[in-house]
Amino acid sequence: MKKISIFLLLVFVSCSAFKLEKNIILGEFNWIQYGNSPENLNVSYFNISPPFQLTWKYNAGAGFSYAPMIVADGILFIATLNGEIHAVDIETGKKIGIIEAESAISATPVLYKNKIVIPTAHSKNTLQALDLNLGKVIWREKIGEIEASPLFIYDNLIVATIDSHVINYQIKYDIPQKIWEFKASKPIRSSPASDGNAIVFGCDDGNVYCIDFETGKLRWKFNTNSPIFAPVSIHKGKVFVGALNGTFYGLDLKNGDLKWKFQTNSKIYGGCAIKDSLLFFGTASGKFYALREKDGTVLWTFSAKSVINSAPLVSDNVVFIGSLDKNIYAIDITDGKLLWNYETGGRVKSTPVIWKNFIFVASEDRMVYAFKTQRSK
Amino acid sequence: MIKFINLVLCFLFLYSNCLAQWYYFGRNKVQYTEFQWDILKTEHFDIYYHPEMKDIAERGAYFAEEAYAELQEKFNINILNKIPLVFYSSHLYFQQTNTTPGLIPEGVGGFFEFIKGRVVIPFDGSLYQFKHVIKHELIHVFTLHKVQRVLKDRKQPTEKMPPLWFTEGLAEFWSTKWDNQAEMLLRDAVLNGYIVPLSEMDRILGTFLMYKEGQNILEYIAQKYGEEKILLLLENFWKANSFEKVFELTIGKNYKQFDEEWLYHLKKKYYPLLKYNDPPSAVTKPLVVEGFNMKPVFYRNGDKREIYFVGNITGYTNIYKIDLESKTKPKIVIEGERSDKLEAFHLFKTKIDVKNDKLAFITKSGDHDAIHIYDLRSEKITDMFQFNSLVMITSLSFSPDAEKLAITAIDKSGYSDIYIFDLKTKNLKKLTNDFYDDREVAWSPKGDKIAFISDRMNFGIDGKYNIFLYDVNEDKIEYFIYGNFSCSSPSWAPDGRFLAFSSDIDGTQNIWVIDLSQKKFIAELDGTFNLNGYEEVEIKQITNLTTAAFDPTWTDDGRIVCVALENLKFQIRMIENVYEKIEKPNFVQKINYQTIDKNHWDTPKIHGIQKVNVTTYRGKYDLDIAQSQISTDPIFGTVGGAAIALSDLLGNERYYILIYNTAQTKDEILKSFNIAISRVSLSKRTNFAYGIFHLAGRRYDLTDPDLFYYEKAYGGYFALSYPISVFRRVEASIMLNRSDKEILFGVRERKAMLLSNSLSYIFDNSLWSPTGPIDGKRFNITLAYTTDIQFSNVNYYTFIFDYRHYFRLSTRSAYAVRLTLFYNEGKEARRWFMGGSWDLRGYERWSIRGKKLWFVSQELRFPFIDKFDIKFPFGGIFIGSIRGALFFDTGNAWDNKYTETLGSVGFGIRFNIGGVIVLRYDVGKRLENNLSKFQKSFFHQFFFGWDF
Repeated sequence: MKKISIFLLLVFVSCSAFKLEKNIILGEFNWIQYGNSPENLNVSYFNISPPFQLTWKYNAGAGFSYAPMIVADGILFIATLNGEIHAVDIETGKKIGIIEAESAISATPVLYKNKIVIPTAHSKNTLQALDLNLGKVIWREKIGEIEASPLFIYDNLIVATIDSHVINYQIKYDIPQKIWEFKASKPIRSSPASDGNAIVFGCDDGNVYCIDFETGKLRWKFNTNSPIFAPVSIHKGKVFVGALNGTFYGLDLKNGDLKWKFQTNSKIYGGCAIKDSLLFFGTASGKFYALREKDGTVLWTFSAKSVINSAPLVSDNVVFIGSLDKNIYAIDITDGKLLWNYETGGRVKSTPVIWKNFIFVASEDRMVYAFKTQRSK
Repeated sequence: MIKFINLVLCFLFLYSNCLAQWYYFGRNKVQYTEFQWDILKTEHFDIYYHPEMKDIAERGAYFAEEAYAELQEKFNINILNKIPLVFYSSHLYFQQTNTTPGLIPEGVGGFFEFIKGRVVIPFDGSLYQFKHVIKHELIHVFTLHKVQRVLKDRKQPTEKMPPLWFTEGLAEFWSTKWDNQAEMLLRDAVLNGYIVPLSEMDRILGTFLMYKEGQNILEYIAQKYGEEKILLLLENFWKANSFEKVFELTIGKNYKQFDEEWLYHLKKKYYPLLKYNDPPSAVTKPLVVEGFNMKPVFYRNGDKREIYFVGNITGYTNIYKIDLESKTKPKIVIEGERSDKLEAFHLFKTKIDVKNDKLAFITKSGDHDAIHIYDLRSEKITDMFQFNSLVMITSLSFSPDAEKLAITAIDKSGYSDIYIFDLKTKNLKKLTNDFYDDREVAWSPKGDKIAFISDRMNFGIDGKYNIFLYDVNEDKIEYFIYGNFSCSSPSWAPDGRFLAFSSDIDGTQNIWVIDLSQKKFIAELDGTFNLNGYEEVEIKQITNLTTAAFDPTWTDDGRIVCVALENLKFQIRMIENVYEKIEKPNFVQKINYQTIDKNHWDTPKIHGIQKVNVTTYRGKYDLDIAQSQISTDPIFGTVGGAAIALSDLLGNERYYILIYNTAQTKDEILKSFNIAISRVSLSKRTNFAYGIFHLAGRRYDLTDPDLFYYEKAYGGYFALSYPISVFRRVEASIMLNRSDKEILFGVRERKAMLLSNSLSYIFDNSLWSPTGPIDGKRFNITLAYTTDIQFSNVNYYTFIFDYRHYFRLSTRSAYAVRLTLFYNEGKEARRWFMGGSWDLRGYERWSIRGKKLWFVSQELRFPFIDKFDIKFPFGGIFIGSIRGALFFDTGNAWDNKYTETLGSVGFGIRFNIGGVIVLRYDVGKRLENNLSKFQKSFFHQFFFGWDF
């Protein structure tokens, strides 16, 4: 018992080792959760475009998930598969501190107020919230492994787990309050999205589930006959998701009716980005598609040299996509022309993020590359 | 080493140790062929191939790129460096590769080695199989990269790998379909109760059964739990130290729980077979039930009805015969795998034939296969034929007058085609010339047709083989048995009315018969074969076994002898009342010749058309080993050093560099520097090595316990090894060594410029059991002369005679004898030493020393306990088998005057742990006073090491 107590103390101490000296100012320009919005649109508030110049590189010491970074108030938070969150000063590229989690962070953390919610993939307490100013874990939950990024909307946190649960927590106060819980039939790796009324996510059982935000009751489900690992996005009353069978689906958010589908003949591991009428996603064959969001018509394609397994990011008229061929590509959204690319030291298997005139790219060589545009708007 | 195997390996695995090269014995990997190498560069591969197989290499390049595209999606990872693929156009060439140090058994279809990331694959005549093996090995490449990446991303050590059942099962699952061989084996395993649960998979580590069970487990998981679980087993690999825990986290069940449902599923699937299908033992008569027996052929030898077959009953493959009526044990006709000419049978592949008192068979003999003709009357091999252009010969069949042989063979380009060889004129005529795989010829009794199997029809692209007829008179090929299924081993009835063959039409191989008296064939003979209604024929299934039957051969009284699998034994069995079975077949399949799709298939190629895409190989050296270490020894103190090994991609040229220092004080640093550089060349048949060395430091002479001295030695050496065959080699070496000795606790000093020469003849055809040889013999005869050419301080000669013979008493027991004489004579001759568990048992290890030594050891080796399985609440210990030995040792060593003969008798047990180490325990009594008196008490010795 004594040993256990000491162990717990060590965990607690290690989690509270980080302390931020300033309050984080959360505004609309911060990237605080997966997809940069509850709809998972992966569109930046900032408009930047090539050419870029490598400004600094930061060694995070371990690998990264499909979307490891969030940004707020000039601080880049980088989650690693080694169970750490590195806080880095964006202007200097210097480390501010490291938050140690209990296990690998396979999903995107969430920032709210001056707190960070950390989902972990394999530990006792797979969800915990840390007060960045106090440097203290303020709550933790044992809800099973988490690989889907939690969704933050209003004052609620929607968490989907490998144990096939979806839980709605009210996190307005320091103690999370469970509002409802939904159970699917198989593990959930697909990050949920919401329009404020409904919550949609994919599941290993091949279904796209839509549940009511208020009640947690099932509204509809759509069967793709193939596991869904990719995050879901919502835009203009439609749900968008790709499945491992290589089909990309456009569904009606109201009733789950199939609006259109597009067969890529390649596995889809990553999410999509949507801007206005354009939808972008990549496949494991390395092909990158721009579809018309309305009807799934292919507008243009671009081929990377290897697998694309993360979601793209759109800023202004440029879409950014990483590939396992080690490159980050910047492509003109209007015609699919390559505007810029940079070969990093490792595979790029995560979505970049943007803060003001910086774009951050996490690479498998354990480095986060910070590029600065010479042309910011 | 990761490898793809076929059925052979499940047997050869038991004897794999016989292939290891041990000590100063060992078999040889002979580089008979001097290969030229070109490199075909594709997007993800550097393909090394010899120019004769350019066409096959270009097809292989396409298969590799196609597999790569699929696998990078399935594994969700790519390979950042180019993958080196080394192709050989035949298995015989592949066996010469230096990319792996060990000898390559028949059953290995390719391998992936970790050090340089090389994938090495032979072509065996079948493009479908080639594609399968390429994909199989690439799955290993992707598995390794995926696992390492998952671990590296989480900063975990990357040494661990998933268990072999998973890696090999996955490589099979994602590279091929569940085929008739897999189905045959699993049915047999389930119905005969030897299916091994996942929780006990270590028991069948590395066997064909493990491969197929692994494949079946993953297929079952994909079907029941979803195929994404396979990838997740790799993605979750970091979550636990044991793979069982990873399995539980991913599937939701531990091994035991999974076993319950998987084994239940198998039983539910296969037990109902017993309602409609028959085990071979229920419906056929046993002729040979032990071992692995293949390719029976019937021969009417005067009054006797005889069956000749290729079999491996004892560990060596031989040709046996049995008399159908007398029920005697199989008699060896040809002893294989012990001599240069009969180096190896291709047990599961090559046909034999008997006609007019002549037995024709195929063995590997040197770099190519050879056809041997054995005269049944004189009981001698009368002829042996080899062809420069033909590397492997895969089947043969006599013409009715036995003056010609139809053969199928693989040439240097890898193509497998049909030939006719005239035994009198020695003329070889090529009948087909394409990339389709032609095999298993059977010449019709009338002499006008040659039946053979081939993948040249449209289903061939999926690995199916149908039966075709070659019209000898009209020189044309006709479709015969056609359909989306595989056929093999065609065999004509003596009167030519029927052709029996095996086919997997119902999912597993059974014996089928076609009657050539059907309307279509009669109409053809009448010249009216184009009439409507005569285009359909029937083939009839005459066995419906739970497992499989194949290799049929007709007797002259309407019976069929075939091979059937039961209880993991390939048995020779007899089917009685064949004509009745043809009248009342299990199933009838119709073939309509009008519906045959005569379009031929082809595969795309990646050409090396641009000069830059194909380059000639020149050795490029990479690091194999680089290790540095500092160690502390109670006698020699602290020793620091490094060892570096470099080799080229094909492993032909190697450099070894050893640097270390044994200095105890600063002053000794320069004095105690040790460096040795060697170059070893394996590219040609004559292997050679040369090098220079400087070795200095304090030494302790084991041959003389009082001698502690400092020695500085430097010089160079050159050594040659010429393998005469896989069993025999001659070795020679010359070394010039300046040796300065200072006795540390005395005043003596000795300087010498030593010139040493040695010449050895080594033979080894021994066959190994898990703890040591059990059959065959091996010996080493060495002559050496060492002289001091400058100071005349040293001058002695050496004679070594070490002979070991193993007389097989039964399948698993043997009488072993060792005769040894070590002799050094002359000035400052070195001493030999013996005593202990490895030689003269009962005496302290290495306590008997002298410049001359003799030793005779006799052992009776036998199985003691077959399985030793202890279960604890927290796990268990499983030891495969414990072997016993009764021994009688005699010998002694002396300098000038022989004193007495020492000896010992006793009993010992040995067991092999993991195939790498044998632990041995001996108990007995010494024989003292010139063997006249037993020791009063018992001695006990526990040590490690293989039997002599």
